Amino acid sequence: MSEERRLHPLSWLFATAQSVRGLIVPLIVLLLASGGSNYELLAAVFVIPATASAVLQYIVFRYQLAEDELIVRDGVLTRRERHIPYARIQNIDLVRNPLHRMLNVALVRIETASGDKPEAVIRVLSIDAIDDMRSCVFRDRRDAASQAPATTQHPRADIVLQLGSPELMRLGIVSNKGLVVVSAALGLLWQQGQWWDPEDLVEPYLDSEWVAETLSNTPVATGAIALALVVLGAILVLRVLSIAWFLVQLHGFTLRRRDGNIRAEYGLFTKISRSIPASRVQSLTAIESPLHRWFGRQSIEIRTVGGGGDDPSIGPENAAPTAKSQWLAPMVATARVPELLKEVLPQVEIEAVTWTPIAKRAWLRILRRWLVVVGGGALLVAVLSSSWTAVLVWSASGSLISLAHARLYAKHAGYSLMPWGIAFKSGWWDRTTKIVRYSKIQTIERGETPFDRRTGMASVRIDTAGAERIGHTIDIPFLDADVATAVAQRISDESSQHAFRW
Amino acid sequence: MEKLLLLAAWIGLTIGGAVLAFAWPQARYRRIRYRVDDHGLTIRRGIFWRSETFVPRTRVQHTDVVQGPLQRLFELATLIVHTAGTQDASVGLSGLSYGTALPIRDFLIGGDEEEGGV
Repeated sequence: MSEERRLHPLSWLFATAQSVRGLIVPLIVLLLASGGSNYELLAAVFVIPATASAVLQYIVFRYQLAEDELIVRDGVLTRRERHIPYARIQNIDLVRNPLHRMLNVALVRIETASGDKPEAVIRVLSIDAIDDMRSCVFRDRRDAASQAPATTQHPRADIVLQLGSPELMRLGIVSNKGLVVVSAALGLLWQQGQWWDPEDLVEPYLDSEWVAETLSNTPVATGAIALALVVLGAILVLRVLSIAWFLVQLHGFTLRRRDGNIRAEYGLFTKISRSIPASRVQSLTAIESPLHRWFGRQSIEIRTVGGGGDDPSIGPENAAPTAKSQWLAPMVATARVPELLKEVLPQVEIEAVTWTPIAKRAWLRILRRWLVVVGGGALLVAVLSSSWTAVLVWSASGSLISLAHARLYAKHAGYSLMPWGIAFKSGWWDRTTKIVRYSKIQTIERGETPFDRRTGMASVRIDTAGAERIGHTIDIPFLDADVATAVAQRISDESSQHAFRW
Repeated sequence: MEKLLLLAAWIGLTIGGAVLAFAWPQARYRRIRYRVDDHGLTIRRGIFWRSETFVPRTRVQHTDVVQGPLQRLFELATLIVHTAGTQDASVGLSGLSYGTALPIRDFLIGGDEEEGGV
């Protein structure tokens, strides 16, 4: 067990592919088409040093499965020897694209509990080598687990959640990843435009007299209907693309309990196996749009910190502390949410949550904000159309919608202070519920804008760990001033008592 | 006539600016309060947009005491407390005297020794 091991012999191939990932399309263009512009030639120039460094890396990299630790030795110019105690290793994650799977290898990411970067990124190891590593690293944990009488080793029993294709299709309908597919396709088209002009396709139609005549002869009503149909068609196509996206990206999504952790495994072409340690979860968000409600489902995302993010090309030295938002359950039946949460975050008891609404008069504040927008819009409409009826229609409908929205929002927004953390729900059309444990709260801020002071309200903002500047705070607005003080105080006290661990 | 108006406007703006330059920092100074105790650091600040920010002692990752050249002249310092958060990744408190900033920093950091943590 303790002999020195090396990377898989073909790892240089994967390292090279990773380095020139961005240049793949021009490289293919260079290979297939004769000539091509200088851009493609430059790309070829980059491949050579990339391959050379990849081969060097293969020659130089060594690792060892010692008695209590994993030892990694690498580095071409600067040699580095890293000792990682097995006890500190939290999870071993895998990424396998079709090439990996063909050759029975995988990219390995080893993450530890403390710190925010992956401890080691190994590109690539054979599946057998990974199994050896897993059995060594998790040996003690497995021994401990097998002593617990209740757990069986039956593989099926460990599945927490599994999404079949129908669920993924629902997810596609509910989300809008179609735009991602379209922009990727457009990007590819633009790249190809280097030697094939897409304009050639469109020009004949632009200049045709038939088009001009038809456009001027169609009555407005038909035109409007035609436009509506086109828009509807576009939305439909986008949703179909969205369904296809999820069917490929999250194929076979399974949440499984393994080695004392929850793992998410998914992917059709590129298979990803990623651990979700409860301690890394900073916050959890449950999303319910109207389409979700129609299906009786929710989407649950979690924000985790650590592990260097999704880009396997970044080794530990270059990884910034990343926070990523990842799926915990892309689609889950609303009824099953409590048990799912209990599996992943045992302290969180979602059923015990009792909601306290925000201040009742919050609706006035929200209405005021929206009326300003409606007013601005009315001004615009007045300038553009110079018709009083248009302005009137806009103002009336805008005000009514704002009123409905304001009252509904104030009715649905609420918070809850539980023994384990806080929960905050907002939104009536798209409903979001955010959950943060006290141990993950970093700072607490009670804020008052001048408008707050005038209406005797205040807000409470909770900050959690992360890397980006946005998206990691929970903002509870429109609380009564004294309630805000009490809430901020309570959260502060509880957070002080719950230690923070990475 | 317009020239006089323009001149009057300019003078008004200059005087207004000068008054603001004196009054604003004073107002800001009056509104800053801080408290350091066993639980952590609390800072209250803001004239119009008021806030009270609390950093639990257990969330302090590390601290800096920073002195610019002007601050060194007056023996002032800025205490910056770093957390793992995002919006409040660094909580700064300027206008402390150097002699006060150091003990506060030591106190905030010192609490982590029993933790073991990282």
